[in-house]
Amino acid sequence: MSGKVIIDDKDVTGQTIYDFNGKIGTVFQNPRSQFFNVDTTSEIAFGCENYGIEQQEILRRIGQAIGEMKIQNLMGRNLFALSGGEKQKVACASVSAMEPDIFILDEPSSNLDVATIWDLRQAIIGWKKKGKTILIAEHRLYYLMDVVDRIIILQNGQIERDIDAASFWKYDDTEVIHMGLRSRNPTVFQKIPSISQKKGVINIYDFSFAYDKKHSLLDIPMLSIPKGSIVAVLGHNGAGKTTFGKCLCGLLKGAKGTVEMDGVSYDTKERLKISYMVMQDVNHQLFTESVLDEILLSMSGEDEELDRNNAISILDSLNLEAFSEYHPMSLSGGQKQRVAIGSAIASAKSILLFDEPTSGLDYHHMLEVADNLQQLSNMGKTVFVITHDPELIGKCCNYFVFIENGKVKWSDGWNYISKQKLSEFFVPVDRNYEAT
Amino acid sequence: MMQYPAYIPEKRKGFSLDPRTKLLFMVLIATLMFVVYNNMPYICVLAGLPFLLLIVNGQKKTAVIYGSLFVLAVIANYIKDIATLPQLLNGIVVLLIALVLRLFPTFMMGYYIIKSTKADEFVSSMERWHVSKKVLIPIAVVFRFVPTMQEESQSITEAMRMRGIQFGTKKFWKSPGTILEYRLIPLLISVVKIGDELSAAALTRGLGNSVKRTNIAQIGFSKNDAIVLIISIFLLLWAFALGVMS
Repeated sequence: MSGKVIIDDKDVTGQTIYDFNGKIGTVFQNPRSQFFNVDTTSEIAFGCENYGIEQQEILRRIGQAIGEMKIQNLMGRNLFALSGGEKQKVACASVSAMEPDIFILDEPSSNLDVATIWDLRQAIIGWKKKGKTILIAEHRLYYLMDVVDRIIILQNGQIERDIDAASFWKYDDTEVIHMGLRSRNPTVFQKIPSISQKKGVINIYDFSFAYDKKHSLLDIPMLSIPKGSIVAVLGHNGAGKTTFGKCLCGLLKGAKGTVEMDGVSYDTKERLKISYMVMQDVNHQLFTESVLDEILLSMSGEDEELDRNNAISILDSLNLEAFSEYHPMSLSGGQKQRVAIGSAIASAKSILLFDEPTSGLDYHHMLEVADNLQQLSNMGKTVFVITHDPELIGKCCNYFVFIENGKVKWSDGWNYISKQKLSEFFVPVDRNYEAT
Repeated sequence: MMQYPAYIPEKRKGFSLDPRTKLLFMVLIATLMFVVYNNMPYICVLAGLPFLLLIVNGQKKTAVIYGSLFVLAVIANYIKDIATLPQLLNGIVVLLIALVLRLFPTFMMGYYIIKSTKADEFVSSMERWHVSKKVLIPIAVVFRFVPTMQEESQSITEAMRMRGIQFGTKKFWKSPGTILEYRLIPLLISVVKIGDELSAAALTRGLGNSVKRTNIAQIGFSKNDAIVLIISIFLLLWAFALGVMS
């Protein structure tokens, strides 16, 4: 690396991180790897403690940070028991508590629900008012409107444009999409994707799961899903979406409930055979040394010649034929995701579940994911997507399940009412936010 | 911008002890276990203490398993003199009994310490003992890394179950070695990646900084520590009394 970094007229190139003395605070993208303690309270205090700040002052700052991020309910909890979005909130709070002069945020919104993104917006406005410098790397732009002053667009490692925000917001939508950027405005759900043909329904009965008797994490007496649809699983951070997904895929030992499809009912263990979950960290589910092997691994292995031909046609359909001899780990994130999809197709699973497949993706890659989901749906698979991404929903989902506190609050296809509910969820208009 | 009130740390619930008290108490139990032998009431009292601590700390299941194993060992210890067993079997039984009677109380005390101590409490109290950062930071990392490994390993297990890669399946018997490979390689890759990201996160938050660290951990000598001190003195006196008598 070469070049110079100058802060406050001082050349800080080559200085160690400690010389900055807590001047720079960073929130990283991956919520799993940026906390250092096991419980939330010590995590938020951690940065301050390392810089030797006095105890009373640390407590004041913690109070301020948890107030800003609205995470009073998460204090004193085990970080490993929190959901991805909740971890991200704690990460924002812990950087905020250090009160640095410069904030660097790397896609802070990628795991957050809309209400929390709005809280983050408020926190950023607050920092800005205190005269802090804030640098945000981000695909989602709508929450930054009227917050940022300057926009730098990078392409292939070069500065493509460096403009003031006012003129950026005046850009044409097509130009923004062309640059691969996400919508600048809250998504308006206008285009209604075609509703899948009636191929029957999948019924879910008596889903329940609890770590102990007091805290029920999932409680769904009955839920019907049209077969072959693309179902968006929605809800706030920590509502139980991932728990629902794992239960659906039969991954939760001790979960109760059955799924009925085509007149056959499947209990937890049997569901493992009909369902597949594409995890948020897709690295966990790629095992072999080549893409082709990965697909073959999911096949019966009885007729190798036939399997091989099938595998190649699956790779073809996913635009992966050119990579069949590549090591899965050498592929890009989107390609890895497609390999995982391929392995699910190969094992003839009929229910597929995606856990936040578009977090951290630009517009083009998001469209790619939407296409993949559409393709799976055309094949007759029922696709569930746990997501906070309104643009993805607008592009391909045609059924909705809204989860709150482990219960289904509502579920419906596209219609006037569901559109209304979605818009309300994704644009929290009734919140009284202070303007900049 | 809104001003929010300062955070008031939650009062520690239950029978909380300073990490230093716990460590010293474990050393005491381990030492007494080997100094005082052949006095059953004394051994039972010694073993009962970690049992009680586990119960108070909420590890009821572990405590019950440990307690029943210990009671079984005590009973077996009485029976072994009455019944005569074949030599080899006898040897194994005696060994097992000794293991449970002598080592389990210390193990359980260790388990209690790990379960009941938060990483920052541990680090803070060791700092007061002037333990070097070079020793403390790696220990703090271990506190964080063990649950991470468990979490990653859990997701990989789930991924394997979804793909039908398990012990006993047809695919498994074709090449039993690969199952290990499938388990280890994703784990290694993700652990290395997390390790990298984790150290970046820790550095930006000033870990290893030369400034003297402060902390908000609630440690120090409390009423509970005094109770443990009194118990320890009592145990020592009792041990001396036994020593004098023999």
